[in-house]
Amino acid sequence: MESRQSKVIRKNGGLSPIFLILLLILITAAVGIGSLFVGSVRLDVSEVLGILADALKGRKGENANLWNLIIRIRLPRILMTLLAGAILSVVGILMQTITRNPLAEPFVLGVSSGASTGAVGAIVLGWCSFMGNGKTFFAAFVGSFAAIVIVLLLQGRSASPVRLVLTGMGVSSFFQAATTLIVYSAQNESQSRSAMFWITGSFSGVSWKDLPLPLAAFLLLLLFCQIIGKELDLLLLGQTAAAQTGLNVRRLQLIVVAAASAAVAVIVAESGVIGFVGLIIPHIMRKFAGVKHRLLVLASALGGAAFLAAADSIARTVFAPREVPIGIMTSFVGAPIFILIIKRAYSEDRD
Amino acid sequence: MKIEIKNLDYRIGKKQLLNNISMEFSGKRMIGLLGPNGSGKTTLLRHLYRELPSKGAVCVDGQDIADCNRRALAQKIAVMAQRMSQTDSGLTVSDIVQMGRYPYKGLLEQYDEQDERMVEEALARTGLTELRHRRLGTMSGGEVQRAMIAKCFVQDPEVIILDEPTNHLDIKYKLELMQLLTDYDGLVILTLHDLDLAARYCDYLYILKDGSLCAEGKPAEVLTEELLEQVFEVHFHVMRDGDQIYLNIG
Repeated sequence: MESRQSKVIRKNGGLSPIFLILLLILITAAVGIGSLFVGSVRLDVSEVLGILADALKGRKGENANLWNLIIRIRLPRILMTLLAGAILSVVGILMQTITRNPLAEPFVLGVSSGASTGAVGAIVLGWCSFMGNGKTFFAAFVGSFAAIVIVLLLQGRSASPVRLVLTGMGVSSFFQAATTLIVYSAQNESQSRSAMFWITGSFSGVSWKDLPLPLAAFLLLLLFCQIIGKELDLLLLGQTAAAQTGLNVRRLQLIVVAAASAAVAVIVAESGVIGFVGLIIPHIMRKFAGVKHRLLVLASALGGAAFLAAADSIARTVFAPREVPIGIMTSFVGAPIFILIIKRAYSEDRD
Repeated sequence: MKIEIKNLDYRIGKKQLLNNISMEFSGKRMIGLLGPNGSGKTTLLRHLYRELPSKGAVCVDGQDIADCNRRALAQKIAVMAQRMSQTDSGLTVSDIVQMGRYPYKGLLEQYDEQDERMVEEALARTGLTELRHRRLGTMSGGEVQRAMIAKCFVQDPEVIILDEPTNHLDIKYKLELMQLLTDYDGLVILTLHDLDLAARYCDYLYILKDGSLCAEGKPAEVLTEELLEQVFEVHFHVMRDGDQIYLNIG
């Protein structure tokens, strides 16, 4: 017992916070730039750099096809994967902290599926049309918020991590079924993307105009976490001890749940449901960044961005020219880690 | 600083857990709540830290505890609850002790050097300086208790409330802990199972049974053979040496 535990005591993995963040920035930048080169069309380094240099100078290069491919297709898509990876990882941390459960994650708790039902409902059935252009996002937010509130209410005061996950799986299955039903009910094929898109996610077809909302959501989420870092840390003591130390636990939970649901809604409305990112990345980053939120959130945002950009590059190339849905790639890595955490949680219970 | 409990009743369904309890705590002393299992000690304490609704029966400095601002209350009252969360949160000793400063920090304020000094001091006082970077999940019960006490100290309260702080501790840690609390310059309210410790360290005792208050007073006045037999259903020999009393079973 003692030897297993002492292996885990790696105070910040021996890395100083600044070094860790710089390292992660480098990795993320490398993955992001590297992703520009991969895809169904292979490109030369010099060609890509030429196009980028032209774009920075604000002019189109001579090769219009290549310019289109890189600037209009790949670049916005990669930026979106970076933002989605970052947001999903940070939301994973938030959910893990407020439920005090290492398995909590937007997909596992059914929050992403709730958002997808809302988004599809807005597109196909015209839900929330009073919101005008924002109806898809707003309906997705209502869906994700409803899903997490249902899961938390069903969880009640039970502290069982597995019960939370089973409840989440139930809620998730329900919303997936609802999403699929709505997609099939669509009169007009082009009205909605395929059911596959909403359930397994995809970044294909992302354009520049899709980016401002996720970017704003990401920056706000990051700022939000830096502001309430102290409060989130306190929740690690448990709700009772946190309340006795002066924290208004209910209020914090409500604010965090609202923020997390909104962030998930933004990503799901753009890219469908992508599972397990919020589970894998925080799990790994805690080993290097520790459990205190201000650093953990930064590190996980960077790690998640790099992870999802890399996963998307693989999804684009592994069976090129066909694309594998991105959610399949993340589940492929995430599900085993999920099982590993459950296994460990159970063995700790027995101790 | 004064905590008053006036005619506190608490029931769940038909079960009367607390029956017309009135108490008053003030000054700088150690107050012990004694009683057999199920006598209502923990339930009573949970009213003092607002985990249970007291409907105006508990007042802190004349104000209904339900109306107190949570932060302001945490600046006055620090709590060490009986059940520490068992899951390893990954926090280190110094992380947790530092959190005692939380009630003094605004939304955008971070812990500063003065907080750090208070943490150092509390760690030294509880003998945890060497263990400051250890994760709580890897420490023994006694070490965890000391870390939680250090957090209470850093919270700089006027009252520390502890629910059975000596449970699961061996005799050495028990005595160390009681000494730490005796040296604390404020009001200490705690529940105890160990009557010897209560006799030795407490200045004033309340004895509960079946949710009612049976007796209160200084240990030497309260801990009589008749009362102990009546409350705990065990016969004790009480020996007196001046103000100090010693209990023997049998």
